[in-house]
Amino acid sequence: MPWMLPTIWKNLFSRPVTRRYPFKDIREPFSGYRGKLHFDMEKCNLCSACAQLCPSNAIVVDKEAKTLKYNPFACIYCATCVEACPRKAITMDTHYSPPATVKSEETCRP
Amino acid sequence: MLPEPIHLKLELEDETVVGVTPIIGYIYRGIEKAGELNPFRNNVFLVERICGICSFTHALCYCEAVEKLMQVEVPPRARFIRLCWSELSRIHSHLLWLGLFADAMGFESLFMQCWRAREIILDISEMTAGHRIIQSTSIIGGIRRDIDKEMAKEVEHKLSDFKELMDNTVSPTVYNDPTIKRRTVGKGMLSKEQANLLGAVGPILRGSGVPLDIRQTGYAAYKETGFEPIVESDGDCYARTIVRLREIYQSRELILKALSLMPEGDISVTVRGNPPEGEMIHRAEQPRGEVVYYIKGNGTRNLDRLRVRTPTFANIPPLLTMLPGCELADVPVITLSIDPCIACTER
Amino acid sequence: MSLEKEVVVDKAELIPEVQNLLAQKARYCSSTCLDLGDKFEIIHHFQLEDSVDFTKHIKVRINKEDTLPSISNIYLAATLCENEMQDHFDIKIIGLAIDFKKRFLRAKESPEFMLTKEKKEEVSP
Repeated sequence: MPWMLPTIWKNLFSRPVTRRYPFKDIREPFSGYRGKLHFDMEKCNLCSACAQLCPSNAIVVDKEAKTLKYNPFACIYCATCVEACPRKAITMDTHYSPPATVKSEETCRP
Repeated sequence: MLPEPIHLKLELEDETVVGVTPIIGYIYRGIEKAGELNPFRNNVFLVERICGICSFTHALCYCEAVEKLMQVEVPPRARFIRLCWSELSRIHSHLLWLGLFADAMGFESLFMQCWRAREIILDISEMTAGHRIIQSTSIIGGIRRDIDKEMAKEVEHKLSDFKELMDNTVSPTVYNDPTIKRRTVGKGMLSKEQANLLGAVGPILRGSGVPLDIRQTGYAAYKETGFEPIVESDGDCYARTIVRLREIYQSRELILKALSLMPEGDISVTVRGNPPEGEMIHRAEQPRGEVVYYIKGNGTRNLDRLRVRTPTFANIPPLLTMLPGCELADVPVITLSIDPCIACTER
Repeated sequence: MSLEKEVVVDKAELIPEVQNLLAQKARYCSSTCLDLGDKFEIIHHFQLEDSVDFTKHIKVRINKEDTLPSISNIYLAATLCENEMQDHFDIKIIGLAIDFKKRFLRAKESPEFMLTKEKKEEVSP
């Protein structure tokens, strides 16, 4: 198969194209990547617009206890809540959520 | 290698297959029922998860069906960008398939090259849509992200890198390599009449010489960009491989054309209210073939019925007629040549 | 809004109608089953050879305890859709080409998952 030989020859001497995630050579994510969610609880007034629209029920707002519970393992990172928030209290950064050994919930209080 | 949970019960006579029964049902998730219980707007994210590869086309088809039912006119720019994303998903699906197909016949280095080329396409997806595969960018009434001019230039640049990589490695190998030809030419024959009668869809149908592609109906922006289906007449595994390889190049052309023809304007319209009472059927061409969405609204925010007929579902009967008569060693190659996606089939 | 080019036929007319379509070299696309409350509605979707749009939707309405003649002896492709209907709606379909006996999508021990609408219990005043 002569048509593959130049590629094979080149690959023999070049660096691997794969990256050793999560140790090093991690590519910088693109600027528009929808990554981890952050809740700015100073802006939030617990209106629960995000909780009502969330397709996977990852956000639960408890008005009596004044808490907002967010489950990153149920979240599908669709950014519906970011768009829905009337006070722009939810933001997304461009990084993957790190792998974890235990599934945990985040509880935010204003 | 067949990374799909399908069980084919084969009846053999020496090395020849004489009968086959498919057994599926290992990953049934009840998405059709969940679609009735969910609000119709959230269903977009649900139907995207029917399939991990053609997820954008699922969302597109569902959105267009609901928009047709609610008589919403989507801005033209949104339709063009939807076309770009659905063609990107076609390219990466075909490359994934080609890699797996090469692996099934023991051609590891072609597998590596296919997946390497696929990485460029996934990078474009991530750059434009925010996620690599399940993009969640199509919503009812339009799309959520715009592709601006700078980004379009970057996409064109990446697509030319991609073409160079394909021209130098993947396509000469597929066109010339004697190993691939010996494993695929004349295997899994399906005639034109059989393909029509058995309801084959997608590259299987076009590989048998039937010029039918749902993109001809002109959904999204295919009417504006123009579209001609790619047809090969041999009807064997090799013909299907060539159809897919040529479609990769065609999809690249379509993306470039759509990016240059794309009009300025809004990318979405606000859709108020619920789907009215009535039924609607809509089809789109996925990488694997035609997908049929049937929806029935009842005036509330939940749908009365959501029915999805996925391409692999339609391609199983042709597989059952292709397998009898072949040798046992050819079964993986023939089965993979329909690009099976059992997660789609069972929903 | 209803489907364009739909034909409503009786149970007895279904097989001749489909045979007629076979003579015109129509391509079988899909089948959909709906629960209308007291009846089932089955829609078979077909496409004619020379067009890219849908050509015909054949609708059959049957009573819940009635049987449905299978079209899978005419179009083998229909057998998977009909088996799925049998699983989901508990319709009795006669003459299936490949009959999985309601074990198409589910195993012996898997729970019931019906797509039929549950009967709303009337609240007595």
